[in-house]
Amino acid sequence: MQALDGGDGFLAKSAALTGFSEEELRATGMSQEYRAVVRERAGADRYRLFMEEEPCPDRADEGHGPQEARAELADAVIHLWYTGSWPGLDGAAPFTVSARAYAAGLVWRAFGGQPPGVGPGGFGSWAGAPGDVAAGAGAAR
Amino acid sequence: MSPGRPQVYDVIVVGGGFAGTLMAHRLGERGRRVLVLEAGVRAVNAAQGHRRAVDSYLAASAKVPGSPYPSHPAAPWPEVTDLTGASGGGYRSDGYLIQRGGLPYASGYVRANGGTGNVWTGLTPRMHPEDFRTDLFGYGRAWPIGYADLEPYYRAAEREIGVAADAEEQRARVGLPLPHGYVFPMRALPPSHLDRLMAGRLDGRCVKDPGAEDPVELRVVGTPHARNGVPNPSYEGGAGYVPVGASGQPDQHNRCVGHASCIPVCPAQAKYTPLKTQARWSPTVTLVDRAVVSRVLVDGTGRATGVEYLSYGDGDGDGHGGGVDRHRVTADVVVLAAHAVENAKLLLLSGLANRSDQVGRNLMDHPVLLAWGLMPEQVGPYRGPGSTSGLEGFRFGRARRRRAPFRIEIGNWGWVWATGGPEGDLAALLGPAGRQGRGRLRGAALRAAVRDRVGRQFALQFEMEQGADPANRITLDPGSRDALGLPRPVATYDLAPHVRDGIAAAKEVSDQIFALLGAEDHSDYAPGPGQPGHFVHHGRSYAFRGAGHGAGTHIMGDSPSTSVVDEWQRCWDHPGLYAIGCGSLPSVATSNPTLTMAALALRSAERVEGELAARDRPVALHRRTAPATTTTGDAS
Ligand SMILES: Cc1cc2nc3c(=O)[nH]c(=O)nc-3n(C[C@H](O)[C@H](O)[C@H](O)COP(=O)(O)OP(=O)(O)OC[C@H]3O[C@@H](n4cnc5c(N)ncnc54)[C@H](O)[C@@H]3O)c2cc1C
Ligand code: SF4
Repeated sequence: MQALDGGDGFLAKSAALTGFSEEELRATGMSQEYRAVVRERAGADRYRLFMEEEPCPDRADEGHGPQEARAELADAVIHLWYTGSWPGLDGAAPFTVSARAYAAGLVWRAFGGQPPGVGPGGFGSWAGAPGDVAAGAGAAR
Repeated sequence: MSPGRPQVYDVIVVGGGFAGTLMAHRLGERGRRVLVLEAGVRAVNAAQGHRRAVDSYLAASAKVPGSPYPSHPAAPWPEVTDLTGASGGGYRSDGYLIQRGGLPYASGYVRANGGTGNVWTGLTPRMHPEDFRTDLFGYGRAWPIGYADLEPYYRAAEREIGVAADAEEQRARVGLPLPHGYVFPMRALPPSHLDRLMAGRLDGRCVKDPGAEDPVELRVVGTPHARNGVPNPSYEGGAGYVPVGASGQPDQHNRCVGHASCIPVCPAQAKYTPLKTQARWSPTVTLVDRAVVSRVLVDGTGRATGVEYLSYGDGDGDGHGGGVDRHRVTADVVVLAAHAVENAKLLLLSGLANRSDQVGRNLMDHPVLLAWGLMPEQVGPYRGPGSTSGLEGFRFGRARRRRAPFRIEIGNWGWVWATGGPEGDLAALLGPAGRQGRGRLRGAALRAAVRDRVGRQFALQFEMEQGADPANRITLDPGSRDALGLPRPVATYDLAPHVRDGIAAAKEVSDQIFALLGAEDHSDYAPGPGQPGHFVHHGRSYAFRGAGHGAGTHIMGDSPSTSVVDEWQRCWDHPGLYAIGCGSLPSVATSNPTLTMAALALRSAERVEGELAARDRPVALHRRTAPATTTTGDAS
C-alpha cells in the first residue's frame, strides 16, 4: 500500500517548508496531486535531489549552483501549497492546478481566512474580528 | 399591437447587459415585442451557466473580471491585463482596445450575456444633487435634468435591482434628499470589521485637504449595495421586499454570505446581475445571443428602422466554431445598450447621430488612486463585499472648483487591486529577496510572515470625478479589425490638470488618514510593469487605475449642436433611435454610476413606451387596449 504522499516523504518535506503540519496538509486532499505536479515539472533527477536535501533548509545559501536551484524548487513547492498554482520554473508558464487546488490554498489559512469564492463565513461574518470566523470550512488555525 | 405590420418586433435592444436588460424588461411588462441582440454567449441553462462561471473563475490563473466567461474572437473585450507599464514611465497596450492617449484608458468591460453587470462590485450610491451641475464649479457639463427629475426612477431602480442601505444615514451623512418616509428595500449590510476599526480611529477627526478652505471632518459611512441583506419590512408602506436569489427566483432567505468574490462572480447569487431581471422577462422579450450588431439602419428621413448583425458559432456550448452570417432585422425603435465604448463604436460605424461631432467624445471614468498599507493589527481582509463603507466628505462643496472631487472606498480585499493579492505577497516573501539576504523564509517563520503580511492589509480607493473633455475619446481604426472584420475601437485618453490636482490632494488626505490609523503606508507609484497609469505631477510620481465606469461617449445635453442624446437618451438626429447606458452621462459624478444609469434606463423606457403607444393610437381607435399611461407603478 502506498502512503498518502507516495511514500517518499513529500508530505514531511512539504510540512517543513510550509509551516503547516502533515495533518493540515493531508486535510487539503491535495498531496498526491501536488507530488505528481512537482515530480513532473521538476523532472525525476531534480526531484530526487530536492528530496534528499535537509528537510528544513531555513538558511539556504544565496548565489547560484545546485543549492540555489534546489531553493528555487522549494520556493515553487511552497507556492504550490500556498496558492494551488505552480509558479513556473525556468521560464515555463505558471498555471493553476485546479479549482480544488485554489480552494485548498494555504495562503488564506495562514491569516485565518478563506479563498474568495470558497467557504464563505455566512451573512455578516465580515463584521466580526478575524479570530471569530474560523467557522469557515476547514479553516486551519 | 399592430397586426399586419411587416416586422415582428416593436423594439430592438442592442446588448443584453445592464441597461439593455432593464429596458427590455420594462417594455416586456407592457407587452411589447422586444428583440435583444447580444454579442456574447448566453448559457442555455441559467443554473448551469452560473456553475460554469464559478468553476471557470476558481480554476483561472488570472482571476481577472472576464475570467468566468467564455470569450470568443468575434466579441472581444478589453481586459485589465492588456496594459503594462514601462519601467521608465509610459505604458504598452496589447489588446482589443487600441490605446493612443498620453495615458491609457484603464477600464475594461465584458461581452457576455448580462454584460459588465455580471462582474461589477455592486455598489449603488445615488448621485448627489450637486453632481448634476459641475459647470457651476467651473468644469464638466451640466445635465439637462436634475436630481428631482430622476428621484422617482432612483427608487424604481433600487427596487428593480434590490438595494440594501440605511436611508437615515444616506440623508444625514451624504446629504441625499430622500423622500419623507422612504426606506430601501433591504436594511444596510453590516459594516466590515475593518470599517469599524477605521470608524473608531477616524470618525470626528479632521484632515486638511489642499482643495478645501476648512479642515474636512472624517466619517465612515455605509455604502448602498445591490446585494441581498435583511429585507426591510417597512418597505413600500409595509409591503416589504422579497430578495431575488438564484436564477432570478424570489428567495426570502438569500443573503450575501461573504464569498468576497463579487468581482467577478457571486457564487451565492446574492449580488444583483442583469441575469436576475432576464429571468423575469415577459415572454414577449426574445434574446438572440452571439449576435454582434454591426450597423444601425435608417430610412431616407433619418428615422431608425432596424439593425444589421453578424451571428457566429451557433454550434457548441462554448461559442467556438461555426461560420458567420449576416442578418437584417427591423423595428419601430432601436435602443443601443452595448456599453459606452461599444455604443460609440456602433454609431461611428453607422455614421449616425454625429451632428454635434460629440459621438465617442467626452470619454470619462473614475480614475482611481489606490493607497495601500498595513494596519497595526489583524483586520481580517478578504471577507465580505469588496467595500462596505466609504468616506464621503471629499465629494462636495467649493473644493470641487480647485481639484476633482472624490469618493473614498474602504477596500476590504487587502491589496488585491494594488499588488495582485496574496499570491503576489507570497512571491515577495519567497525567493532570495524574501528576507534581504538573511536566508529564505521557511516553515513556521514563513507561515507567521504571511499571516503578518496579509492579515493586516487594507486599501483606500480614491475615485476621482473626471469632467467631460471632448479630447478624451473613442474613435475607430479601419486599419485594424477584429475577427468579424469590424474596425477596432481606439481610446485617446488623458487626465486633465483638475483630475491630477484631485489625485495629488487625495494623496495628501491619504497620508493624514494613515497617520490617524497608525498604519504603515506601502503605496508605491514608481513606474513599472504594474503601473501603466503612471504620471508625474508637480514633480511627484502618481499612478491611477480605471474603475470600470466608462461614460460620456454619447453625451446627453439640451441642444443637438452640443450633445448626442436628449434627456430621454434619444439621439437628436434620428427619431426612433436611443443610446442608453453610462455613455449618456454628462458628468460621471462622485458616485459609482450604474444606479444612475439604471434609473435613466427606466426613465427612457417610459418614453419608448410612450412613442409606441402614440404609434398604436390610430389603429387602436376601435379596439381600446390597456391605458397607455407612462407611470412605472413602483416609482411612488
Ligand atoms: C470590475 C468592475 C466593477 C464595477 N463595479 C461597479 C460598482 O460597484 N458600481 C457601479 O455603479 N458600477 C460598477 N461598474 C460599472 C458597471 O459594470 C457598468 O456601469 C455597467 O455594467 C454598464 O452597463 P451597460 O449596460 O452600459 O454595459 P454592459 O453591462 O457592459 O452591457 C453591454 C452589453 O452589450 C453587449 N454588446 C456589446 N457590443 C455589442 C454589439 N455590437 N452587438 C450586440 N451586443 C453587444 C455586451 O456583450 C454586453 O452584454 C463596474 C465595472 C467593472 C468592470
Ligand atoms: S461577498 Fe460574496 S456572497 Fe456577498 S455579494 Fe460578494 S460574492 Fe456574493
